[in-house]
Amino acid sequence: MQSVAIQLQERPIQPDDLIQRMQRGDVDAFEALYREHAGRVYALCRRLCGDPARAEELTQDAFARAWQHRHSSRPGAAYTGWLCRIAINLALTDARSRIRRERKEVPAREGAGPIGEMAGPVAAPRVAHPLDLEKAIAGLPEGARRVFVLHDVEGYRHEEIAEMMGLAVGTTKAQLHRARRLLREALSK
Amino acid sequence: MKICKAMDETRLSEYVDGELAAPARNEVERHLRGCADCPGIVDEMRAIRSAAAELPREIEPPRDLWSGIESRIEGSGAAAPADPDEITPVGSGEVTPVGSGRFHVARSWNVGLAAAAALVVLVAGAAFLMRDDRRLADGEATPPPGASVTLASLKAAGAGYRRMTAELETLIEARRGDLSPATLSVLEENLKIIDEAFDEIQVALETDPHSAPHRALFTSIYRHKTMLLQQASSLPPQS
Repeated sequence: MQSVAIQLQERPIQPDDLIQRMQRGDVDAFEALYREHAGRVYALCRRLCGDPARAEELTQDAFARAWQHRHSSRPGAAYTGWLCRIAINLALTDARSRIRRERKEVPAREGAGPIGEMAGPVAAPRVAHPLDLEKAIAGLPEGARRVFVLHDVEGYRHEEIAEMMGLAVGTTKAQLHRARRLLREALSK
Repeated sequence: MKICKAMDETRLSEYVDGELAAPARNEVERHLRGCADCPGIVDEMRAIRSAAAELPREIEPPRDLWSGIESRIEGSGAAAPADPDEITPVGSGEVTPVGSGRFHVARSWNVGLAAAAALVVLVAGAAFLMRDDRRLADGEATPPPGASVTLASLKAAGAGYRRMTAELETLIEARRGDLSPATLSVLEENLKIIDEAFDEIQVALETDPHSAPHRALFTSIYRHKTMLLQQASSLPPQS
């Protein structure tokens, strides 16, 4: 066991061979890559769109897009980042399309998210339980939720988020602050 | 939650993120020393920021999505040329892992056989326990609306893994003479554990095919078997 473990640590296996096989059109290799990354992509889609059923669709679309553009995929760990960027782009495009459709149907209601705007003194939140935090994030207004997920959960900078979302940096900062305030209120209840 | 009228909360948010230049930061810190409310707000913001960064990187989908992906790519034919608007990251022009600056830890296949062995033992143990411990499936036994998970679909989802593991097993069989007896022994022992775990989880899934933990284990077992075989097949000759 020991000798094997040492040798393996010296020669780490990267999924590059899977990526190469996938690029040559090997569907089995692509399925293995899907199994490896499905949880990561689904988590991203679910947090960005706030809807588990829609997140399933977006996850499938993201992998289908990744297959379509497989020749530009990146080797090693960069593959995950490449795949996640596809998912983020799809989720943001989907959100923009949905907002446009909703605006045609009903007047804009930005700010009236499920959490809503709460006022009044409440107790200070303790360290949020992950499940409570997930629920509170899902309840944020859409714009604030997307900025919060990309900044505080995924670690993107405001400049990157602004470019991805087609917003000014000041707007993403304002959305982030709004998200944090609403989360503080929701988690204090 | 108290509201401090003397300090803009957006400024506090920027302070928490370390985005303020020295003069503005000093001003906020002076205010914090004298304000009864704002230190609490800053603490809350930090707690949320920290908790958000520690959320799990992965959430297992509630059902297997591969069949939908497979149907999408079946009709897609040849690969499309690169679409820079869709896949090029912001900024540098190089694809970087998401969130690489601070929090992101991409799952990697850099796992030693020792770790793989520990994992498969855990997987096997969990599968065994879950067969009898119905509490783990509480709340998961009812499929979510729209879910169409069946044992058959899960088995179909594992077809690709089975093909891949069969290929790898053939490769390892051909290399049997290259590997040391100790390596082969460890490998065989771990494959036995994995296969026993798979038998256990199949029994559990037949009882409760909609259980999310069971489905996650089903996928995990195949994944770890593939990982173990890939690592073993790439070992340099030892004899």
